[in-house]
Amino acid sequence: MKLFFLIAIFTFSLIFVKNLSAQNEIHSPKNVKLFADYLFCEKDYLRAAEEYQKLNGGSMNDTVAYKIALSYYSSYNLEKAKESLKLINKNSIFYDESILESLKIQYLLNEKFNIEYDESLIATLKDEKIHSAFLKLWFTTNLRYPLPGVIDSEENFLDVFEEPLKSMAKELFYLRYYPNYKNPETAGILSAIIPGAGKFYVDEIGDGVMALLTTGIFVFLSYDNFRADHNFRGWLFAGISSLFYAGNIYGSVAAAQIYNARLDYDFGVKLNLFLEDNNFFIPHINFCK
Amino acid sequence: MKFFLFNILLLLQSFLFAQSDWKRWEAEEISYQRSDPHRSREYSFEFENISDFSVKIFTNSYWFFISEVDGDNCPYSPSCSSFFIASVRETNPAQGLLMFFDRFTRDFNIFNRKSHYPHFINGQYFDPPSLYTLEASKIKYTPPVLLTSDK
Amino acid sequence: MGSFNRLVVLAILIFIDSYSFAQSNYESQFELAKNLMSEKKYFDAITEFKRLLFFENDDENIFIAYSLLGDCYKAGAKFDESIYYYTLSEINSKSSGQIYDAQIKIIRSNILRRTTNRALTLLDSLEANLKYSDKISEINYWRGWAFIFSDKWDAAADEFSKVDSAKQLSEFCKLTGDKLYSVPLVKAMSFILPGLGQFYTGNYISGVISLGWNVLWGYTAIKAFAADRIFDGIMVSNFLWFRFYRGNFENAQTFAESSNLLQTNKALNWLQTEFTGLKP
Repeated sequence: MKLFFLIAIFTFSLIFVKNLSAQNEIHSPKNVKLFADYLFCEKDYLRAAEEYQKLNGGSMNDTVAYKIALSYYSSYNLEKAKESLKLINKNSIFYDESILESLKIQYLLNEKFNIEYDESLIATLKDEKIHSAFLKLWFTTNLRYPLPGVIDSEENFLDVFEEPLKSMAKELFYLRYYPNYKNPETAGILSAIIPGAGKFYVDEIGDGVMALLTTGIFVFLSYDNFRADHNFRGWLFAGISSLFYAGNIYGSVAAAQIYNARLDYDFGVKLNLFLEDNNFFIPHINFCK
Repeated sequence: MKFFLFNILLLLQSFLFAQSDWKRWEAEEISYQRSDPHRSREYSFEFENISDFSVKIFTNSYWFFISEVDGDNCPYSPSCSSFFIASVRETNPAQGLLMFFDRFTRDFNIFNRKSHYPHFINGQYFDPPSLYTLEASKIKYTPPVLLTSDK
Repeated sequence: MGSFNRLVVLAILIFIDSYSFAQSNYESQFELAKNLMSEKKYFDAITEFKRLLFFENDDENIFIAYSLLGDCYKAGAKFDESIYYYTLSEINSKSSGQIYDAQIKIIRSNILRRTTNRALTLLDSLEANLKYSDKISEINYWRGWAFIFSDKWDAAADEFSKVDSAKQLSEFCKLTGDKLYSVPLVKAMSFILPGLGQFYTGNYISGVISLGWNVLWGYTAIKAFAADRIFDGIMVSNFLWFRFYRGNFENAQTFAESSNLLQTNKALNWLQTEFTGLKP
């Protein structure tokens, strides 16, 4: 009886000691993961990624591997996020999401897509939601970096979207394929006919008015001085007015180019906003419940 | 007071982490010295060719005798004279002259500048010559927002 | 029976030992974080302090950990974050001494961040608190530094003069302040006579050029008005004479401010590199 009691005390003590040590071992894999999860939920993403990467063997699982990639992406370490996503194997429960994340990161890195759009890839995306998300993301990112044969027509593009996304997608499609560009030559010719008209053409009303006024004033000054027989001043103001006139034509051509560049920029901003507002169509997983 | 402070800090913390710890950083000692907010001129006579040299003589003289003493009138960065030098360097004297006269015309337009040009905290509007070289590939459009640097 | 009792005692000792092992585990984590800090690996030190705080329950350790976290961020010149953690250390403080220490650290970070108005407000509230009546000297000392960073050298000299150990600093600030030009005075001089402010600041050539332009355009404008060429007179006055007149006192102001900046930067550089006393 005494022996039994003794063995029980020792066993209990040893188990208690082992558990207490394990719990109090701050750098144990279990605690490293706990701490990493905490950092992830606190948005301290780089630290979270570095902590997760200390885990190996039994502590590393599908969720941890995916969260490493998410942590790097969230802290704008896109190259490291891309590398981490490559390590997610096909059997992982997050493999489908990792395909979408890879596509997103390639878009953000302005890289040419090397994910081949083929039926075998689509076939691996078994989940209907993921399949639909992939098509939306693939088609939308192709607006920015088009690959041949992806977007055949407006119908082909809009088919993958449902309302309310469809109306925004349609707007983006038209901005991409039917932008309201201004012709620089037209702007130059208009300004040659009437100083400032080319600037009006590209919606630079104030600059157009100033171009008209400056050219007009110096022409008038030149004429007035010639009329008063002040030939030197007449030629001086004629020269200045010619320079303003030529500068106005030049500036109108440049203004048209800047107008077009602005349209391209605004399109890029709208496209990025559309993607970000919809989380790049990637189903959001809340790891911090 | 502690409760109030604590709540404010809870709101702030995710914002703070978002800004500074997403990249590894090292120790840094900030300089106690202040930077000079005044516009500085590049008076050097370094030149690449004869037209560059003539432009430099003209603009250095203009800066010394006129621009430095008539106040800071140009709302743009680079200033009109610096814009002229940079335009000639980037293109050629004739094209640089046209770019300058276009800039001079736009300088007269005092309306709606803030909705048209990006600007710095000192109020100057960013208007680089690279937008006006007629080479579309050189145009890096910047929206009319507050800028923190001219890069 | 005797051996049985010995074994029971042994079991109890093992239990106590494991419990104290858990305690020393936190201490070793603390040491790890502090060692990283002393090696200037502040980013990693922050990680270890955060790990400690995640697992730690002891209030005393929490106060110190938050304070050291603030020190790490301050070393990386991340003052917003350092102030945040110093504030957390203040919230978790257990004595008025700890509160004071935390507030002084917040004040020093505010000084470095150049939010000196905030630093001065905090210093005023510390001074008004009767618990810290024995810390007036130190409060005045940091107020002096806040004035230095606000470019108020005379006020800084006054504050340092109230601190026995800062007489040298007081003299230094006074000397620096004496070398500075009064910008309103320089502007007023140029307002009265174009070029005078520039002469005062030692920029003689600029003063002569400025005076010359003003004389030229002033003469031209007056001559035009005198000859009843009102339009010409208005054009010359508005676009030339007024432009150069306004430019003249802007120029004088620029010279005064640039000269002052040169002097203050020299002084600030000395304070940062040569001064061996306590700095923000």
